Amino acid sequence: MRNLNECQAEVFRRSEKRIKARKQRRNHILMACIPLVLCITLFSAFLLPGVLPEDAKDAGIADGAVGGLTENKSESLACAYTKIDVIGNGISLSYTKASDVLSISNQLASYMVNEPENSTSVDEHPRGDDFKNESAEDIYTGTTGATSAAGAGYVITLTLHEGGTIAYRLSGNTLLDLAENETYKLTQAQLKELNELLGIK
Amino acid sequence: MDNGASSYRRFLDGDESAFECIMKELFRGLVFFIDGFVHDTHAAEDIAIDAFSDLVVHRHRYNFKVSLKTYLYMVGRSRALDYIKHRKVIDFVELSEARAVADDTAALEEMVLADDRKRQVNTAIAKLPEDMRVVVHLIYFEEMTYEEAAKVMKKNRKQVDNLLYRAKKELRIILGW
Repeated sequence: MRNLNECQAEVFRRSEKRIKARKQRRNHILMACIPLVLCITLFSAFLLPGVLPEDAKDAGIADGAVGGLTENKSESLACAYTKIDVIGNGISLSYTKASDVLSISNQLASYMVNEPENSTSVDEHPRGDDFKNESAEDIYTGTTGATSAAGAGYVITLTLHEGGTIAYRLSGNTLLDLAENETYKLTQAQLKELNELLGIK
Repeated sequence: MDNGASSYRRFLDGDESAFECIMKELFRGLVFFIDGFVHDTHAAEDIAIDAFSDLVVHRHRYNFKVSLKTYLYMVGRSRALDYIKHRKVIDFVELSEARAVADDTAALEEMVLADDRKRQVNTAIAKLPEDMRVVVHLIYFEEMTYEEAAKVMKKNRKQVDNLLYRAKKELRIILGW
């Protein structure tokens, strides 16, 4: 049997050994944790945005949406269209090809996004002001401001997968969202582009 | 007497010599107590050293809510039971070695129990079942309160009371008092 001093020395010797072992264990855990944390960070930074659905990623942009539609939202809506009909001025066109439908609906959506610069609400502006310079643009549509206001021009109807429709009226350089009752003034270039897409040159 | 709590407080404050006081006060008693479980003085000493080393390694595990003696005996008991559980192989020892172990046990008993009468009781309680033996040891030899003994044995006060009553009855028969 050991004497008390020997036992005390043994206590301190074992304690030191155990403390050292604990420190080593802690270091090992830390060494294992650092790469793990790095991996998680890299994964969340690079891979997660690709995995997440588009809507979740761009949730923040919705705050700055114009006319209730963002660019991305309108893109996703575009995929929901199955058919686009253009009726007016004696012509009746129908687009069912996916690429045509997509390009037309994208084009329309892009005008909505740019609304603050070149569009006005019907309620805010009297119709007479809106169509003041319309006669200059009538080379494309062959209609007058008066007839546009009365409902002439082209009615563009976008049919959704579910069966619902969204309709626009194009009169001169003015695009009227019939559901929202808002008008979008198109520039010459935009109008030309849209007319080409719709095939109503 | 606070059973080493104040010495341990001094040790935590950086006074290394205070640990010596704790060792002097509690070490042999703890070895003797653990020996009651493992029936091997060397193993008991080893376990007691581990229990004391716990005080150094985990400095803030003991919260001063019970006496240091109670805490050490709790640690000692649990380590002893753990040792018994993991001792899978029965060691065969040389006869001379066995004699040395027996001598060590007797020496330890002599060191811890100065009183002849106490030694006589200690021989008798060896014949009791473990729980009764431990409760008698803690109450009579270590002079713990019923609450402290209950804490060490992980039982409630009433159970300790009952065990002690039954142990006394058995002891009277064994000792012929």
